[in-house]
Amino acid sequence: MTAAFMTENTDSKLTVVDSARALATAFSLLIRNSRTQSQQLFGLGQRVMQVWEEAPEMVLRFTPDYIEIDGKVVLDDEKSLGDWLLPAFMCGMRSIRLNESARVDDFVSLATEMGGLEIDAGVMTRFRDWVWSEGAEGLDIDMQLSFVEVLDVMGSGVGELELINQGHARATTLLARAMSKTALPHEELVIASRRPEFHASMELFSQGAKYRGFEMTPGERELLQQGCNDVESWGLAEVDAVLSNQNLRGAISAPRLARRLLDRLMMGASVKLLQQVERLYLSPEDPFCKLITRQLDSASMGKRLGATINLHDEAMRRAAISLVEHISAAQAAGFLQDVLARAQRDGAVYADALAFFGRLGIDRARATLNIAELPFEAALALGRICQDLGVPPMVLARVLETLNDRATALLFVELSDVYRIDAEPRLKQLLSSAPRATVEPLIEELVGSNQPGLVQMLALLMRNESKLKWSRRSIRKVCEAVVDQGVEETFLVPLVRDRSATESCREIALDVLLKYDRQDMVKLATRWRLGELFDPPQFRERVKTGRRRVKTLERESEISSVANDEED
Amino acid sequence: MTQDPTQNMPQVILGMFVMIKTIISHDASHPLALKMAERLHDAVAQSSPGWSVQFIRGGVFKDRNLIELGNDGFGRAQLIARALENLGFHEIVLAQAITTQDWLTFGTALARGALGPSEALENLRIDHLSWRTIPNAAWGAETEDIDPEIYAISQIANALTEAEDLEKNPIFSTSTSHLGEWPWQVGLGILRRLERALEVHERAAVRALEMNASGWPAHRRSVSVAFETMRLLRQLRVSPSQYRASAHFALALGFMGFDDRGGDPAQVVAKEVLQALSQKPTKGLRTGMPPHHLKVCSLAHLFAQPDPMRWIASLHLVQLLYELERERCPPDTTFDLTRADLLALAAREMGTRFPHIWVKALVDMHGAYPVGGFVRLGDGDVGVILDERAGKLDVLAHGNLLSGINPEAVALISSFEANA
Repeated sequence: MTAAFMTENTDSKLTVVDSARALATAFSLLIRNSRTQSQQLFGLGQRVMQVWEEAPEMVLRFTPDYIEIDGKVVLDDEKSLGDWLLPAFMCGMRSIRLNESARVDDFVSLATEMGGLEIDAGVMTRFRDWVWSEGAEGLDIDMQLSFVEVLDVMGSGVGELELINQGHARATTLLARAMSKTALPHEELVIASRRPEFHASMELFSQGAKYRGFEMTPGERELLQQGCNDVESWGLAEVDAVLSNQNLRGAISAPRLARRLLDRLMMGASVKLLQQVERLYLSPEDPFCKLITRQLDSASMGKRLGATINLHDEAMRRAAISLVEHISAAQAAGFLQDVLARAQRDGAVYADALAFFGRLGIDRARATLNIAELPFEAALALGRICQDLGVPPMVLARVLETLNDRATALLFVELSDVYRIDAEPRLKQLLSSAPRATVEPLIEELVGSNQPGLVQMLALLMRNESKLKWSRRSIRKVCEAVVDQGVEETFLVPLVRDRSATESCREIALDVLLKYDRQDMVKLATRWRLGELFDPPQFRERVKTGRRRVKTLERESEISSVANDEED
Repeated sequence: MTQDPTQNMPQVILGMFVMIKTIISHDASHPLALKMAERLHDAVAQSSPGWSVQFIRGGVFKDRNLIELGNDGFGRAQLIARALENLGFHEIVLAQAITTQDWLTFGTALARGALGPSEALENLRIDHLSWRTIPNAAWGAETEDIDPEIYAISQIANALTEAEDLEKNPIFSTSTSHLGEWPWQVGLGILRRLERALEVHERAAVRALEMNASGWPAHRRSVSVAFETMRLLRQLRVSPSQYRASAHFALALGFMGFDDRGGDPAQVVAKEVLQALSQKPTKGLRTGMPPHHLKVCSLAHLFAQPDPMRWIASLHLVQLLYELERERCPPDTTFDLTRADLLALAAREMGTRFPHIWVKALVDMHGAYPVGGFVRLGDGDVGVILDERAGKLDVLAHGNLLSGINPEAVALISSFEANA
């Protein structure tokens, strides 16, 4: 940012300054409008969010009469500012920073609170309370002492404050006065002596504390720290408290609660949290729960959870499966899809996903997922999972029927023979009708796999499919592979002679036979037949060339054999 | 209807500003300057003289109440504040109305101050009008130049004062059949003070709270539970969001549960606390319940559950601290326990009544010589621990402060023994 402002004279830098101004202006407008048009703030909030997200490192800094961003004054016009800035500054507000969890309604809430600011001690204190209470979700606000709070340490007050303000010396005087009381009456000591709280051994405590008998181990410290910071427990407690308390339901809106729940899920879902979410979906008759689940759905909870959830633990997998069964179909599909996509990218996640889908069952996964629309990575992972789980070949074949073409192509190369037989129709369909971008690498892979069956299947396709869109390079590769396998008589010769095959296939097949000097095969392929008259002229020319070449070679061969005979 | 104590003060500020500006541009002898002084005189008359005005770090206060000034007023007040600061002062005290000529004299000095550092007020005497310096009142790096120890102590003192006022709230009256809402704003104010005190000078804050010069009434014990909760959780590096909520719940629990002596067991008041906390807040919230409030309510909700296994870890600490403070002032006596007594009690019942791990954490935090504990000195006299620094103790004994005492030379004793 700093560098950007330093070289303002370039076009791109001007954009940064413009963004800063746009942000300050939009933010101020939102605050001013919050005073009058509380129903139409969402659009303005969106504008603020949009501008800020373009340069999220921008920090709005407040002074009593202008706003600056990275040391540049970006708004100082009184009309644009309205009268909110001074009270905000007097409250101690110095800057606002965007944090990654910000949402549009965060800006609306902040603007609404700031719009209510006045130069009034009570109002300013309430605003400070709100910020301190984490009301400004999604934003990091730097607050310093407010104008009201500085009074706490200035000048003199009344009563105890007046005395204590003067520090340690005065406090000791107070204490001395307290301690100079006369000893307690005997009766009271007798009563006290009967009470158990007076019989704790000071010696035991003193010695224990002195010789570190109470010292915590780092492990104990960590345990307490984790227990207190346990985000999940807090999240669960909040949801539980709201759901079981009518008063709290009125105090917090379902969308906001849904959002907090979602944030917690994103921070790290756990069994308990998943179960809590599931309970919400299981209570559709409760309007509050329904509102929450609707919010979760609209925030694509399933997809987001799928992108972050850790399924390493069996209990988590069970909980996730149970959740998938109860959330809406779209959410469940989104969840599974993102788990699959992650599995494809990360080997460790793949192992967890394998166990997860193993428990879920491929049939259920098929019923939940929209397989035809699975993106490449997810589709690939699903195919691999099916294979690794050892699902019956027919099941995998059904999955492949609608799976992403590119993924199917890649998967097919990896498939074992057991699966390949059942999946062959899909492969043939792919090879004959998929776009060239998908087919070409597939052919390369299939040819490169050195598996005779695959090469022969490709050769057969060349003969049987009249609308192949393969490149000449791929056709040549297949033909060469056939020659390598020594089965050209079975596959290439009939191909050259078959008028229903594409011209390019026939042409290239003949070329390959000629190139590899398969004289006998060329002879067979170019043997005259009536149908030849109906072949395109260029092809006929090639056939004739082939024939001539065979004849030439035959003649040469005859001459050489006569010569050899004569020599003998 | 109560009148705004700062009413008419914007006119006084305006009058003073115009007078200074006029004197700067025309000199005090100019008729216009006299006219402006007359206007100021009139404005002051409207403001019921007998006040003091403080110019502190950009804010202008009348008798410690913030004066409501708009943007223009703020700018004018800054000129006066700068002028006064250049003269070395921050407060103007008007005991009663003064003459126009006196205002003109004062304005002349202020005008000099407005132009730069000056000693124009040093030898000036005006009857019924005085001025004084307020340490640290000038614009600066906020709290950085305030003595942290004094600041911490003042925050604790203010928190206690606010807690004392809060105790008078009808919500805490035993005769009230229907509980009202928890006064969130007051609670937040107290907690913010405790947090600031801990941030700037923890030892001073502990000392200010633990020195029981005025005994241990319920409000002080409530603040103590909240303070100790916050202090220990901060030391454990628990996130602010969580420790604030835990401390707030502890404060509410204390207020609802403690009597003048003793109090109800925590579990007995749990439901009442939940009820009070979960009332829909009626004040100060334009945009619904902030996360902090919900967290506090959630703690109360969990605490009211019969199964502590479901609790968030910090609730066990709150319960421990609450129970200890309940023991602080046993019923039927006027006898209070010190922190050392309470820790000894916790240690005795560690693993039975109180969770083992939290007792250890608490003792670990306070150390072997808790502030406020009694010690027997070598000569047999009893002293009170004020502080422990670098392995040495500051002890109050014989009415004097004994600094740097070797702990080996004293023995920690119970309150009972000290008073017997």
